[in-house]
Amino acid sequence: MSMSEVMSTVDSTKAPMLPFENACANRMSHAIQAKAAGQKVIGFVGNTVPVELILATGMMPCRLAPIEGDLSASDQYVESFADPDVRQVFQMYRTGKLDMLDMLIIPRSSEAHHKLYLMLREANRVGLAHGKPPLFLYEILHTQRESSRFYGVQRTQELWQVLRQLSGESLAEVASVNHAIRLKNTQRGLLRQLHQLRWQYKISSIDALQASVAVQFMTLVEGTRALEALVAQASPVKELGLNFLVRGVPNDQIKLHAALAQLNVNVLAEDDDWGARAGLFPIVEDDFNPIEKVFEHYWRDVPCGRKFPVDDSWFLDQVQKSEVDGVVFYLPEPEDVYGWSYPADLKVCRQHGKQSVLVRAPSNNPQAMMDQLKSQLDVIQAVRSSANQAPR
Amino acid sequence: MSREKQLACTSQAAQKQKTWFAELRQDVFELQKPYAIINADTPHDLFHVMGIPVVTNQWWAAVVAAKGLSSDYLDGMSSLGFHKDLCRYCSIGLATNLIDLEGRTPWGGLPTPALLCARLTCDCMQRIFQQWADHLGSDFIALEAPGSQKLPENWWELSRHRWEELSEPYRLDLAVTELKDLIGRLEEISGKAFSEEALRAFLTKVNQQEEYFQEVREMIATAPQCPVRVEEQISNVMATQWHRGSDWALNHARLFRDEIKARVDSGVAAFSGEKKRLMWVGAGLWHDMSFYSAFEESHGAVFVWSMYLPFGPDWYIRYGLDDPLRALASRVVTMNEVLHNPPYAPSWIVNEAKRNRIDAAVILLPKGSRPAAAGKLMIASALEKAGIPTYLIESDMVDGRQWDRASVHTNMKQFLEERL
Repeated sequence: MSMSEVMSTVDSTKAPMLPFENACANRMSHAIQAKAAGQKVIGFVGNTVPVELILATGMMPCRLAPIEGDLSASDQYVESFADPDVRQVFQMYRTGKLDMLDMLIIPRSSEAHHKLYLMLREANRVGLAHGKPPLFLYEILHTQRESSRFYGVQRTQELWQVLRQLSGESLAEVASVNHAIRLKNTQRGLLRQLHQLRWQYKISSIDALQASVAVQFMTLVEGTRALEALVAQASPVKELGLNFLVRGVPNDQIKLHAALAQLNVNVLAEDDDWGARAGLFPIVEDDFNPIEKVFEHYWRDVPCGRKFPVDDSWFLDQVQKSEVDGVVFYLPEPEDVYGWSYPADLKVCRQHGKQSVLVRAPSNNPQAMMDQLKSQLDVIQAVRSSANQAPR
Repeated sequence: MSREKQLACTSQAAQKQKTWFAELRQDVFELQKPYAIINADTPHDLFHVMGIPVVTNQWWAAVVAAKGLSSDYLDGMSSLGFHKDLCRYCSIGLATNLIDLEGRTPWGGLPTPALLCARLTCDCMQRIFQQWADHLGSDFIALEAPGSQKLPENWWELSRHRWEELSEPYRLDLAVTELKDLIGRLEEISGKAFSEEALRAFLTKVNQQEEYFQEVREMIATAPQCPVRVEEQISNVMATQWHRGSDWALNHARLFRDEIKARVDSGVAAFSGEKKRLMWVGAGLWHDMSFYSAFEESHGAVFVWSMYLPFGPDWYIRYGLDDPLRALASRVVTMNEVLHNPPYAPSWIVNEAKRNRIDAAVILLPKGSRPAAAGKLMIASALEKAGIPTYLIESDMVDGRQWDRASVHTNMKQFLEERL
């Protein structure tokens, strides 16, 4: 079966899923609408920008995670083996597609995004771009030590001042930030419920991932409302033959899950916060310094490849669970970070008697991904089948 | 094909590295003396001041590659499950400890260090170094790599005297805090107390050493023909940098300067048929250093420039050492970025190309070390805009497995003939 045939089997007729599907298909539409309605819009990349602070100023956060598109304005300046989203955002910046943003925040949370910041600065310096939107490097560090925490609190306070000034609003800091924390925590709670339903076979992994990803591209109110409806209407779904975890490069597309479902594999959880780690840690409201609490969440709780010491605790906890049959290691080319853990992770799988599957096909080649999955899962399923048939 | 060295000091530099490493192994194995494995962009100076010898990770990778062993180690890493796209330059050292080549290990191999140290520039750094440290049972100290919003494109005009202006004050504060933490660990390891005065004296000697290099780079830029091949520049400069601040380093820098000066005064060129001057952009092509002189006879094309020599005086020199730790922090906190990333690197390299009368630039695009490759197209664009033709070579600096020498040479010749 080809990948396009697989995607056509994904059930997109369920009403509670429609808002999520629309949001995933048009990732900036909420921001475009907000801008048209006169609201200021703050773009950002990655998962460590404190969205609560943008919300607290009354501006619209707009996460940039483009998937595909023309790269003709990027290819001469950004290497073809750069991360796909870096190439896409550079293209969008150069061609004016981000002009609607009032600011673009780039966190120091991956080297790829740091390079994106530097390349955009260079594009402005040499006249390849015209300086819109203005760029802000959010200097969040990820070593878990006091000097980095102190540094990060200061940088977050600076970001807050910049956002406040940009909004033009006179704000009561504690009340407005705590209000945003409360609203986001409500959504986080729903995301936790959503992902817990997967372990009870009350929602498919495809729908759960789609919804979890989509709320990043919706207004907070719309996303929360849609999650409430989805969780409320959850009902038993068909159980598949194998239950796997997914670990590796954070994945904001459902192609992998759809291919796995076609091969009779259910994904119970993903080791990233597009998926099952979304919403795991609510932020504690604080009557004195809520900005510090917001910062600490993004510094300490959010999954990040630069976190040091490297934190594998989520994976080590989940892989032991009896429901888990194995792990799909999603390491699409040209990834060069998560693969460093792969040999050690394999040992953990073997230690717990879990199967493993490796995907290295690039994200823009779904057929190759399907082929890689199938060849490995065929072996796993054949071994299981013969083990089940063997006389005891 | 290796050529005979043109400078006496080049052989001395190579010999120094070999004997120094043998002595290091002896000290570690027989006397249980501590040493450290550290990345090139970390503050070596503190280790030297505290009397803890260091092996530079990238130098060790270059040694492995030059001995033609990187393929064996990288194949070995693949067999352990590390996939082919993982960074090679910074992980060859780890490979030499994970994989046993049974007697073919260069110079006997790396003994167990007291600690490892790296700046967290690339996302893979903590993963490589933590595994390495765990494997060896050593400590790993990670230094942060905070990004900068202040990106002075003329950094080389500020770095010597106005280094405070290169970085945001809060970045320097953070770096100083981390260096103090590192010093605490080095004091534990060495049993010695840190002395600010000793660091000041050390950095003063580093400045003097780099001043010799400044003289050399001026001579190369202004002499009618290049007096020294780029591979010999690199050998002398880097051996000296790894031992910087020592009497040997200062003396060697002076010897290097003296030899170059004598050649310039006598009108001796590295290649007398020099017609075109080339610059090499990126890390050294450690697995095939003969590339640098391969187009002299056929096209009169001489590599006269690499980053290794001019970066010394432009980035290492720090005048105004009232607070030597802060001066050192200003060098460490942006070191890798200045060398490779826009806007620092394109503006510096274009400036260097002009002052060295460069006719064309050859740029290494190491896909196998993605972070090192990022930004290279921006450099190429800046050079082309300045009227300097560029040729991009997709190859790794240490991994020669995909190096198609014949094809690269054919394309390079075509480039020289069509663009120059």
